Amino acid sequence: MRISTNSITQQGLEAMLRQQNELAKTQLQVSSGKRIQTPSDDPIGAVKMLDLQRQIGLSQQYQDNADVADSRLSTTDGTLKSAGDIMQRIRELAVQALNDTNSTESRRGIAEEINQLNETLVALANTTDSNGEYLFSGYQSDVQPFDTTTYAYNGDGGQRQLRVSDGYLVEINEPGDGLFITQTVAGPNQAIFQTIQDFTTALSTGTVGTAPNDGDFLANMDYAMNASLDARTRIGTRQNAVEQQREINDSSQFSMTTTLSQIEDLDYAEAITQLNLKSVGLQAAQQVYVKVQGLSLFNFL
Amino acid sequence: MSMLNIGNSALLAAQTSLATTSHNISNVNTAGYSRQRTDQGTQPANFEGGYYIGNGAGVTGVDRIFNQFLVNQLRTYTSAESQQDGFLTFSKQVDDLLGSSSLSISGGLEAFFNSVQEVANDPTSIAARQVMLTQGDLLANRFNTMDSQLSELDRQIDNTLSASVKDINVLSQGIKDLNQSISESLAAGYNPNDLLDKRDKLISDLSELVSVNVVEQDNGAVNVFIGNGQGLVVGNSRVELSTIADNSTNPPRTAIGYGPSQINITQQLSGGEIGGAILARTDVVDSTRAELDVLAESIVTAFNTAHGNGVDLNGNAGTDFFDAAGTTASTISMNITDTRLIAASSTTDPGVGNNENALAMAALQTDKTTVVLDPGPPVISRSFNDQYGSIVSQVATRTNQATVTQETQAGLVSQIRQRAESVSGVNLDEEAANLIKFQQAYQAASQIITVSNTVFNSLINAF
Repeated sequence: MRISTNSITQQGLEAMLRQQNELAKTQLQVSSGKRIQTPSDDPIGAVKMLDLQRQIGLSQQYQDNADVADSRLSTTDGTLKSAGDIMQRIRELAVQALNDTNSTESRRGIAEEINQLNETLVALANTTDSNGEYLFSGYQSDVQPFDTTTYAYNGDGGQRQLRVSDGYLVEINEPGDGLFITQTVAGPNQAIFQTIQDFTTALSTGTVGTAPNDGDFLANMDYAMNASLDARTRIGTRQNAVEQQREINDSSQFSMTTTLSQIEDLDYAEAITQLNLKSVGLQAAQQVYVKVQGLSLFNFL
Repeated sequence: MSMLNIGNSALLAAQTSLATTSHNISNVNTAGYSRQRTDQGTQPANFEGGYYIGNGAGVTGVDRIFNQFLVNQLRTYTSAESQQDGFLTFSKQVDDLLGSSSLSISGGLEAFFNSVQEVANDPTSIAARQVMLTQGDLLANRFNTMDSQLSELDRQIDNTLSASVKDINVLSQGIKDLNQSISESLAAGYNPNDLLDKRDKLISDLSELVSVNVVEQDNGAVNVFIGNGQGLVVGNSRVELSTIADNSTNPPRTAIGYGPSQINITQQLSGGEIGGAILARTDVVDSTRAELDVLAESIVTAFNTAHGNGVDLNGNAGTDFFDAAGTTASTISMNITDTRLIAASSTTDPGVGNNENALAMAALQTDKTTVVLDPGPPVISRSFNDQYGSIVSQVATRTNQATVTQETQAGLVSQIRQRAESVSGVNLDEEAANLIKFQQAYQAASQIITVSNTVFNSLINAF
């Protein structure tokens, strides 16, 4: 076939431009480390990437939520542990006070100590977290749950839930009414602080030994201590569940990140080989161009 | 006929061939030039009783060597390639825009819903609420920015159309003028090779702008049609194209008007840069904007509904989170600016620590019923992210497809161009060889004259 001079030039030029274009594309991939520069490079991969990025982001948010839940549960657990310790101490003192060998003086002394402990207990029930939110007032977290004189409960039964995975919401607080307003031997529920105060009044006035400030008091204390123990068991279970969920999130995040990397990231070994191949290709195209352009019959005229 | 005259005819023929060769060499880089060849033939012989005596050579014409079929094919492929190229100019920009991590709606949705979860984690925190308002605003901004970038592309398409219309008018004027010169030359019996090349070049330039249909007339003039049969150049007359405002959209966009009555023929045009721009407008820009509007509206509706189900920090029912009046990508904006107005609490046991409604709002992120595509029944719906993913994949697939098609078309164009060039293009080696050939012929012809002179001299000297 006849070839025009322009075709020869054009062909050489097109070859060089094509090689340059491919070289530039590989160069961009290598310098960015990304296989997909724009969605059209791989439409299916790009959409998968969007989906994975969203899931990874969501999973990361679940991990953050789990951190918040864990910290709140730990704070609540610690507070309830202290409350349990104090109630245990009060119970011990009560056992001692109910002993008939006690003098009036020593009973007054014990009453004084129990009163002090009771105040601490109320203060624990009114604990706030680092944000200034009351731990035990349910959804009314800006309201002090227990009145320090009447011991009336001003919170509600709301339990805040946090999402730590697509299918798992964890309760992060225990409303105070379920913890500190407990059943009594006599029947009606009463704030444990009131029960304790009634007992110390009886101690001071020498009227212990009659119900409810006799053995019943110890039983009432047991009800309160059990309530807080039960709550701590529930919290412990939730902490375990959160921990497990966190591990699940971690491993699914890891596998999603791996998949994302497979879609999005460049195979460097292959890319560098390509880069070398293409630069050799470009050099060859340039040399061919120069060689062919030098050929002309006019050189011999 | 004398030897001198025969020598003279040979000299002239060689001279003409040398001139044609020189013309070919000098036009080696002229775009659209077809190589020419001197046609040479014997002159009518003299009958001298029993025999004929040859009368030397004569030039019968200078031919333009070309293949009309290849020229037409090249024109068709050029139109198709240039359409894909024009389409890609725009669709690549949309592709980049949708995939950009700093602009993509997907990143905005993620950041926004994470901030909703933070409010759910700590509904009393004013800082968390502030972040949620800011992220809501940023999400709305991403929509606004994306829409304004797309409408900017619409303006670029307007500019492409008006620039192309100007070029077409210049080209059609040129074709009309050449039509006239060519038909006059042909009528006078000349072959206007260079004018024909020029006209073919103009038509080829025209086909890069829009697909054309060319019909040759008996008098050598061509009629050029665009669209579905609108005559652009018919014989010695031409029809002017103009840009008109298409008021069917808001804001009005540029359309192409035909003739003095400026009939809108935009939709009938295809191929070339114009075809590419129109295709990009309908297939990419318009559809992406429409789909983004659907997404924006779904977000506003779903989020406002969920927000309205809750109670804010002041104990009031939640007001609209996003401005209910702005339901398009360009108009979506925040309604509330006060952190206390975020309705994180539910209506059961409302309180500052209640996060039930914040949880419900956060759950919208993965809710597959938020973007309603068909109210059914059965209802067809998808999540916010799936909607955005579908927008990205539509544009990406379309761009990818156009890239492949463009490469194929470019390959075809280059192949056909080579074939056309192999017929019409100048080869310098060939011309160099011709140069030598005709130079030798010229030298030989000179020798005929020298010899005839010697012969004549010897006759004279005989006396």
